[in-house]
Amino acid sequence: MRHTHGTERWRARDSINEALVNVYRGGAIMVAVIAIIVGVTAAAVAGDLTAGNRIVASEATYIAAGGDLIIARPGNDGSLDASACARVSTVNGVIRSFSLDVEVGAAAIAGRPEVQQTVVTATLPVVDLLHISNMTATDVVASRILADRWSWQVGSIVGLEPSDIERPVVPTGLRTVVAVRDLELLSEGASTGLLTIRPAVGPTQSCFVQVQRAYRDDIIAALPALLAERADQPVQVAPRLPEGRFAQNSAHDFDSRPTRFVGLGAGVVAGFLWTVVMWMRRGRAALYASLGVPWSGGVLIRWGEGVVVTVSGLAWGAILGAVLAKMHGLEGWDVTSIVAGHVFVAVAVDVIVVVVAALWKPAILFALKDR
Amino acid sequence: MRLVASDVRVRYPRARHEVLRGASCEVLQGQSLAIVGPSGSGKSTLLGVLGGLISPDAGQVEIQDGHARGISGNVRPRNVTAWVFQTMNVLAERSALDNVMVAALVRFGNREAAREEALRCLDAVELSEHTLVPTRALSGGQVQRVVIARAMASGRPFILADEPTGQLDRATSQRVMDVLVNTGDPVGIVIVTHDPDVAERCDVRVRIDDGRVVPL
Repeated sequence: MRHTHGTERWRARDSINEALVNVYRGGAIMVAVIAIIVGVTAAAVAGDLTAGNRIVASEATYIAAGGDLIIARPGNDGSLDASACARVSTVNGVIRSFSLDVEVGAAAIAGRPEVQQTVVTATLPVVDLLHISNMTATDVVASRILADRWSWQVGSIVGLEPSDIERPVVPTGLRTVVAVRDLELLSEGASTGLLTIRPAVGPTQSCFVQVQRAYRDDIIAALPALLAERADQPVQVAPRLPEGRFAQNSAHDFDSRPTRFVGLGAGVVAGFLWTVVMWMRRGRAALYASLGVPWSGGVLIRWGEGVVVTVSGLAWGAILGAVLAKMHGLEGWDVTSIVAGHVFVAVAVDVIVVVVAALWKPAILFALKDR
Repeated sequence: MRLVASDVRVRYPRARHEVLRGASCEVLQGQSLAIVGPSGSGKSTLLGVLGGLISPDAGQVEIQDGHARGISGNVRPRNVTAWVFQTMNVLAERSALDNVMVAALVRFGNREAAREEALRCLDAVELSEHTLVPTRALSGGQVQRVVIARAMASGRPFILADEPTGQLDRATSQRVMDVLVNTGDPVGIVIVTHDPDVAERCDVRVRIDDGRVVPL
């Protein structure tokens, strides 16, 4: 019989092998732990994605109402230059800019001479804001109110005549309704108007600028200088929507949402759940130690078991959470980076907890007699 | 080789009295020693001291080999003793072979050699028919024989058994003892027991009395 006194023959790969086999053969306890972690993580991730989705939807509503529009107007009875307004679109952070004029009662509708029709003229970038394609100079966009009133629809032919023969300020002639839109997005006065396209030259009443949220304040500050024809010309700049009513900062709301730490929470739960399981299975740790497996080998076994179980639970939970959120109306925004971020944080926290807990040194005799 | 405890004293934290008060005993390789005594007398504590799992407050435990008194270096009681407990200390979901192989793997560091030795030891305890059966599916007596096979496979010269038949019926106890005292390997065995029949099977019998070891 050959007697061996040391434990130096135990290798790291033996520990890894033991950990994997223990998990594979672990049966109900491993399934239960993974199921709990999957459930907690799925609920957490689905909750955060749902919260994020609410913010995204709110932002979409806000933008649809004109929340990202800034309006510049002359500070006196003068006008702004439409070509200067067009050049604003080249500024960093500007999505688009267009001139817009509202002429109340400027036209009459053929066949209805009693109607004093409001006409809105705007430069071409307005069609992108209104999500209209292929609009030409002979087309008009009918406001929803107007379309409902006169039963106009896409393709209807509208005859426009000047209401004041001495003030022919609007295009006239036969026009085709190319789209029906809620023009209140542009201004209260436009809500009952007909919108036509005008060239980006000449004077204009106002310059609409659609901006990215991060650049909003800088652009508001810069617009007077960009639009004033003279250094002393006053230019008033204001958001399309009154501050305080719909004013919101979706990026800030998203970054500060309370559920953004769910990955951290899931990692802590997974790590501490495994710590409890390790404590319940302390006899096994003592058993390996009593057989001569060195402390470092025991740590590696406990660490390997914990990481395999908890990380797989976290990963599957995150995937399930994303799927559940998708099934319950998650819209088309990119959630991959959010889910990946949660998984990264959860795994990092979980691994730290599991590793620290695995460093525990069992009291061999008492753990073995305690079973 | 002999395992020697000399004048060992142990007091547990918050205990009013010492549980061992100068206990001394020794066991030789190839010899079996039974320690008997009432509950709480310190039998298991002495076993823990012999196995290096409890540090005595005073006294010492030595491994003496041939001409040299005491062996230094890596040879400590922890490294020359294998344990058999009353309760079933096995990896329940793992097979009998897996359980025994862990001890053999520590010994050999080679899976093939460990497997070969594990199969030999399972055969020695008459469990070669059950090598791939999860230990949770085995009877109490079979599990205890797996534990004995594991102790044998460790290659350690001393086996310390704490009430190894405490949860078994008489017939099964006999069979387990048959296996334990007839391993075929020259191991020293220390058995803590309440069972006079088990003690009777050992070469040397001692009793713990008032914290000291006295011959029966």
